[in-house]
Amino acid sequence: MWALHDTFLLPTVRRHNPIFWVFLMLFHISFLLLITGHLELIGDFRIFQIAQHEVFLGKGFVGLILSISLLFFLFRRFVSPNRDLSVPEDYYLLILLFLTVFFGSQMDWARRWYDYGNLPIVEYREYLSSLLYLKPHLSSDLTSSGHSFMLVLHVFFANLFLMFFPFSQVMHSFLSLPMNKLRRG
Amino acid sequence: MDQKTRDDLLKLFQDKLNEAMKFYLETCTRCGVCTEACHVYASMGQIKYIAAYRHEIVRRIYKKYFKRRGKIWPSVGEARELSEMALEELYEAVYSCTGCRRCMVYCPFGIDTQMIMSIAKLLLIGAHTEPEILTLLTDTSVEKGKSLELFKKGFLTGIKNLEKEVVKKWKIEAGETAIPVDVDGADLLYVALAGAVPAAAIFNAAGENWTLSFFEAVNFGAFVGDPTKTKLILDRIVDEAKRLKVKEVCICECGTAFRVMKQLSGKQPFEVSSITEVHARYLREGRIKVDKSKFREPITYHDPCQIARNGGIIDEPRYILNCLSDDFREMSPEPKYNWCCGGGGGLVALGEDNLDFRMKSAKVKADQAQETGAKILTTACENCHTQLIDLNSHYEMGVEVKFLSSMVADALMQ
Amino acid sequence: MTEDIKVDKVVDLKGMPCPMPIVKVSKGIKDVEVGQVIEAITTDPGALADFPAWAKTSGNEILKTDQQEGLIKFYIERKA
Ligand code: HEM
Ligand code: SF4
Ligand code: SF4
Repeated sequence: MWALHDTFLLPTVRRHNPIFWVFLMLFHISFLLLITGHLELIGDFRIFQIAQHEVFLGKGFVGLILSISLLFFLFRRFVSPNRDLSVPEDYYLLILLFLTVFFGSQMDWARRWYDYGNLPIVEYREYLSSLLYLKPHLSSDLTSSGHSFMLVLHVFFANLFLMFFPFSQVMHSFLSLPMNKLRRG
Repeated sequence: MDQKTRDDLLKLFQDKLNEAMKFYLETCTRCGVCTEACHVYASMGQIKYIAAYRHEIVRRIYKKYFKRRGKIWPSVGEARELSEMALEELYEAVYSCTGCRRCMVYCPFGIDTQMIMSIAKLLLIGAHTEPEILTLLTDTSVEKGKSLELFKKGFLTGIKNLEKEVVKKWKIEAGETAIPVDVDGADLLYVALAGAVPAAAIFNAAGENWTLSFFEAVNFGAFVGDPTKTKLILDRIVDEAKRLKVKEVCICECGTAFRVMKQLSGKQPFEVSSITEVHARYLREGRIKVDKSKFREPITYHDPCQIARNGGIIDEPRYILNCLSDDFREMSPEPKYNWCCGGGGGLVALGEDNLDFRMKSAKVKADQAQETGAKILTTACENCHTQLIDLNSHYEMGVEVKFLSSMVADALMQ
Repeated sequence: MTEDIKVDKVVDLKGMPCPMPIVKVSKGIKDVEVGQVIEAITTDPGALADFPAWAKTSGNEILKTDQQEGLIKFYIERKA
């Protein structure tokens, strides 16, 4: 039980670096929401429809929060002593994620805040599921929407990130729980 | 470095890679939360003394030789070749780390620096660049166990001399031996460092059916990080305990010995306790009584890392101290976050060679102790004791450094 | 008795707790040439077992052990 507490509330970080902790919590919670949001795109599986409303939770703020915290993480690493601890991997990851999140959010913001309105959710869903079935199919509505380059970039960076993921320190997401168990004995 | 040496060293590295170790090496996000944790960094402010930086030195080699990504794209993780230079860095990293594991309570993932450093220690042994003196001490200790018969006579003479001292200072009932050795069926086996006088007095006062171990508690094998020798030194105590069929093995005031015994001996037919626990028990059960007027000055207690943070013995010493004095002053921050004395991990045994480093790196400890305003600084670890004495004279702290057990012995009411 | 051993260096280890005597004596022996002798004076009772073991490990020889009131003196010849 305490291991769960340690894993999800990061008490050690809160104690020693509260500002960092705030961003970390914001970031990770948003990230979770984001994953839930993406799952909605895979419309064919009912079980994934955990929260059934307008595709992405949080009215676009999730993307904003993510972008800001990622920038915070990034700039944090430019300052000594963190700078001397970091290796290129850490920067690449953050930049990659930032780009992914940023372009992803652009699409979202465009629709919600600037009233673009013509970015159809259904089409995204179609595209993603066609990918899943290994029969890529892009509806012309998507490519013609004027935001297509955003989508392409988003997907491109996301794929890079997913490729890098298993070999990088972000594996901490899976290892964190067993590790904290280890500490609590 | 030629290919063969490197291969041999990597083989050693490989042996160390169990599940937990791999997790420790993979998980660090280099978030830097541990920055403030290390007393060496806090005192000296050099980047190389941050816990995560110490890991990175090991981790770079790990990435280079055990991960495909280190082969394909080494620069992404700053993977580094195992070379003489790397060995020097390893030496720097590991023999400036006391293994106090303060950083472990900071890290969101609980990464154990001490454990990662054990790889470094093993590599250094493999390359014969470890501190010579530690190996010498280890071998001496191993040798003593091997040819026990040869040295038994010397040991027994030593004990006889000690007995006189015990008898001189503390009353003893007729027919009792002041320091029993080799008692079959005793309840408690006491593993000492040379000089069991105060402990003996307390055991006798409590009417304990005890016996003194032939072996000294301290495990130099653990200091130098040689698993085989650590085991050897540990096992002979275990064997002795089994031979005498004792119920409890009590480890003297030596942090390393206690943790090694408690956590590496596995499941045994006896309990392992530290002398502090035993003393607290005697006091609670009223088997011994102490005189509160003996120490009138304010007292503070230094929690030895291996006994408190890493061994869980936190309340017992406080119980004892509250029996001994009305003016016990807790250090801040509290035990779990207590600063290391700066002498662990074999650093004290390096003697004068690293005195300068030991003093500089433990500035925070000296400050922390002084802030309490206590006049008596007590502790329950031989290593810490030595280090604290050095600190006391270096920083002119003007305190008296004492063993907790000696204080109990001195205040014993008879 | 001690007259027949020529001492080249005296190492004073009085009052030092274990393991300092061994640490210091290992250093001390490096200061003399092979074949020369150091005299180590200690108050540590454990030394009676430690020193012979140390001598065996490090390849030096204890020529004589002398016990007096609370003091132990070792005469050690550097062999290696
Ligand atoms: C469940 C336990 C988790 C804990 C305790 C945890 C903890 C942390 C910590 C301490 C950082 C700071 C690293 C930094 O500043 O660079 C971090 C960063 C990050 N975490 Fe987590 N995390 C967890 C789960 C996850 C999950 C599920 C993901 C999703 C894939 C994730 C993705 C990330 C990413 C992408 C970063 C930024 C990477 C970077 O800084 O290079 N984490 N996490
Ligand atoms: S174990 Fe202690 S000495 Fe070593 S890096 Fe961690 S805090 Fe520093
Ligand atoms: S706190 Fe833990 S994860 Fe963060 S840099 Fe230190 S060791 Fe790595």
